Amino acid sequence: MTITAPASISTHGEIDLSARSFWAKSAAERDAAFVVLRRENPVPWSRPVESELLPPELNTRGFWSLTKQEDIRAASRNPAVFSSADGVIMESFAPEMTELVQSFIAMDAPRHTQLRGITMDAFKPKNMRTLEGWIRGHARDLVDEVAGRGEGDFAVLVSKVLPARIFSSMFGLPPGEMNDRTVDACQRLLAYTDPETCGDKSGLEILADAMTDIHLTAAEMIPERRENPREDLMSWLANAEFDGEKMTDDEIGAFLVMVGVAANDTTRHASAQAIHFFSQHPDQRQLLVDDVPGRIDGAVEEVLRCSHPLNHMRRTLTEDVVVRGQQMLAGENVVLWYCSGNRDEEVFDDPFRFDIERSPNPHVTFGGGGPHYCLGAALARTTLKSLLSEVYTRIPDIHASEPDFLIGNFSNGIKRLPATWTPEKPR
Amino acid sequence: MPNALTGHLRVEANRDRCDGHGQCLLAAPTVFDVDEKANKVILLDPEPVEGLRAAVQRAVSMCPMGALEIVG
Repeated sequence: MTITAPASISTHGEIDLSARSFWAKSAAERDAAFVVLRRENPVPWSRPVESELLPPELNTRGFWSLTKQEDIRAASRNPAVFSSADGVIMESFAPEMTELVQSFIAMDAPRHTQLRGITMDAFKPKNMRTLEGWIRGHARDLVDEVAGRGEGDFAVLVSKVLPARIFSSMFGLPPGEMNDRTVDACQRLLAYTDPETCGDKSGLEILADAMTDIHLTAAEMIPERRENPREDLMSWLANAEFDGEKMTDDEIGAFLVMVGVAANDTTRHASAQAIHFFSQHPDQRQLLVDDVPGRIDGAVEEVLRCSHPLNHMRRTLTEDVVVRGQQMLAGENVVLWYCSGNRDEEVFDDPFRFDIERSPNPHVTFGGGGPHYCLGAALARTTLKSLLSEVYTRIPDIHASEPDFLIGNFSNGIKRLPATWTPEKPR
Repeated sequence: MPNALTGHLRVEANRDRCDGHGQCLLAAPTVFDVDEKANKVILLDPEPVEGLRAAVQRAVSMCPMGALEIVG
């Protein structure tokens, strides 16, 4: 591989996307940096990302960045050149770790198509129309549990809980210790960059511990689901066959890790970010509250645009390409910055304004299209719509002024969101 | 621009581009559906009423492949 730039330099001027310290900055500071990149250097090269997941001698690969939405979309729709097979997170994992954690999100066709296909029926938008009432019921029950309190940590009491209940039910995890351990692992796996979550442990330990807990659950459930298949996704996984071969325990475990984390760590952060945005923008909250059924769909899209629960996905080039005059070589990593694409001045008027009536709103929160477009997009949209409809109908004055953000380059999360609201009277 | 004479929009779907992700039918279920076999969009109502403009525009924006367009 050709070394494209000296390893010690920053991405562009003072901006260094590889530095841990960049991702500890406020969202406004990071957004401002991407404004500069889009304007002055939209396809920059960065040194290897500061990471605890690989020893320094193995963490030697820098990466290209795509910051313009048009480029993100073009790369997403060209999987033959922009491959996912080498892992999709900017911090490189050891190859065996990629296999145990990233599953089909880090594969190309045809295996990607096979594995994604196993559960695709469950997530199809057509199915969501059937499931919408069931999801709304979960949202209603959860808001029932907290509406009378008048205060509490929304991120912990609500944002974490709703996706977890839906996930557990869809996969058939029975209530109890195994379920709680699995959900907790799904919720902490991506926090390997957050110093508080890591505590005394290294990022690699956090990742490996969470991964092991989830694989354990898969190993416990697979024999029983092969014996007595049910109408749940674990049964589908345990019994899926390709050319007469079932998936191995490791493959099913990896699938559960990837989909479990995707289910538990994305919509969770989007819903917490929603309460945060509406607290910062009382005019927009009032607009929604005045007509929840009429404005909720636009509100969900704007929350998705501004919250982008995943900052990026990575690809690896299978051949040399040129983007905006920048020569990139086969084998090099390219990071697609959704957070930047969602604020691209060429796509959005006044991109830093939170505007629930924004139209059009073609954000890339679920990816730029192509075969890796978010499998759970319809579920996420339906879940957010259900939850925010309940919240802004029943406890519309909810306010949270001090969000506690997760520090990380991948997950754009909120750990704690202390909130207050006028308690709902018992119904 | 809305068609001033009929009060209807005109919508087009490019089935070559469509990948069957189906987000459009969440946004505007009376206008779009997905053909399960072909895994391609079906235009149920190519000329929806003007009142559906916001929903159809959302479907256009939500399409990950840029396969939908309001043409009039």
